[in-house]
Amino acid sequence: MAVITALPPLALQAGANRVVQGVRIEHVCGDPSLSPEADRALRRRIVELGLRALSTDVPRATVFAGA
Amino acid sequence: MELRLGTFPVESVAFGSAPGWSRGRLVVDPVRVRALVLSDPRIRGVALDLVEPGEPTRIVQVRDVIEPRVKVNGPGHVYPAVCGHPPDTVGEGVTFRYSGFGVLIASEALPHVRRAVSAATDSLIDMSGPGAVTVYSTLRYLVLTVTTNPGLELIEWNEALRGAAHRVAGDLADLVRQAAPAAEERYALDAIAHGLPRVIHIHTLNASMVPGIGTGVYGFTPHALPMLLHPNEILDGAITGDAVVTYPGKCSWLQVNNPVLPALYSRHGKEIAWAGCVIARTRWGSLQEKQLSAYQTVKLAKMLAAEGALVTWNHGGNDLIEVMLTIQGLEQAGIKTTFLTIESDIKVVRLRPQLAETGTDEPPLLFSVPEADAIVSTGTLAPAEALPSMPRVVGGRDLVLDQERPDLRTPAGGPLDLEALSGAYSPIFGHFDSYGMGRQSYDDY
Repeated sequence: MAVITALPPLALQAGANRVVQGVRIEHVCGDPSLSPEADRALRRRIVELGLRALSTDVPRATVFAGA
Repeated sequence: MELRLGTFPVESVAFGSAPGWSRGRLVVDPVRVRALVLSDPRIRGVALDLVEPGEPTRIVQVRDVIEPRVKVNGPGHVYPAVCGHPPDTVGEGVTFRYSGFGVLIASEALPHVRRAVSAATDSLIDMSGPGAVTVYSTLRYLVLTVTTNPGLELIEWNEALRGAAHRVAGDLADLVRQAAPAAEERYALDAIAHGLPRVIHIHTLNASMVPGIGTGVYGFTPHALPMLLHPNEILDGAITGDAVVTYPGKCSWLQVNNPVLPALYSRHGKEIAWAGCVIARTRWGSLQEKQLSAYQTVKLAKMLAAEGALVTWNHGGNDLIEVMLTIQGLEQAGIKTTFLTIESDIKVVRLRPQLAETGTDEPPLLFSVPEADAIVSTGTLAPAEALPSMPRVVGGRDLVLDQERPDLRTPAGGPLDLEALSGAYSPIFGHFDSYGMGRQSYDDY
């Protein structure tokens, strides 16, 4: 399981083991202030990071950031 | 900065054609009040009601409560920088106030406001019975039930409602401008001898994610990095509520009656040296903003040489993250920190003995840090039983108790089983009692 969230500390406290850093509470998986093309690219990077997290073995709860 | 606060207690209120205050009796001229409210063309109608504690009365659609105050000597205007008041720094001179009384503005949220702001919930104050657990059940009110132009957009609607409340409150406060207060209190952070621990009040305040509304500091509502306020500024109304976001009951009355301020003042020079209030806004949208706000708050406390901190908050949900990060940072900086908070989520859950003893499966606080090891509970959101029907209802006719189901309207006269009816928020105004003014603690039950 991997969770994309604006607030990794909350996800960790709730027991998530793979936590993907999203953008903001208002728009976790994208950024409407960007151009449609840049927003789409950002959304793709976040989802791909989530997929990478899913396919990564984690010995302990881990935050994946940098999308 | 020295403030003398003169108090005129209100022990009874009546309508009459000769307005004034005398020995605890306030007479309100309804013709004058009506004219003041209707002077704004955005307002189409107003009904006036007087409400007393202990009555079988339910006030609904509460949007804000204003304690009438007036600056009788010294710079600025009470409740600065809102509703046309100048932004001069307040907190000095002489201010007069009525105690135990508020001008309450009631108005149902317009449908588009309800859709735009999830926290623009319907609210109620029971003046007697099992729902009368908050401080708002203990006040006397002049209730202005206002009907606005239905097409007003959010900001205009907010301004029209609170403008009416402030015009009326200011006019009532003017009645005692020349009178002698029943009591006068002097407030100043006098320099004191060394040796007492320096204590800072970390006064965190929610800022709305919806632009243009929410609790304001000198009317300034956006998210902003922390600032230092003298407690006298707060006593003069530097922090005000809006007429939109009502569910935690964080109205303007609450800000000038925050019990933390007199409690710290009474200890200043005796047990502590109070260094003032750091205002830190909460409900930032990103983790980095939450961290930045917390870290800058901690830095201010360190620069002020604080040795102890009292942290308060006024909202729920994700606001707690930056509050907890602040507590963590303060403790790591060697500043002993106490947190004052209500101890449950915002949903109404009826109190049962086993719940009181063990809590629920969910943590009482959404988020916590190990450093938050000194927490004072102000109680919980748990009426002991369903609210009974009330013979008199003021402020509106029915209630939307679940914002997710806006078409489901419940007659306001009740009975109301809040646990069954309410959605994410308790409709009891002031139920989220983060300063401990009501009767919601374990001992009270």
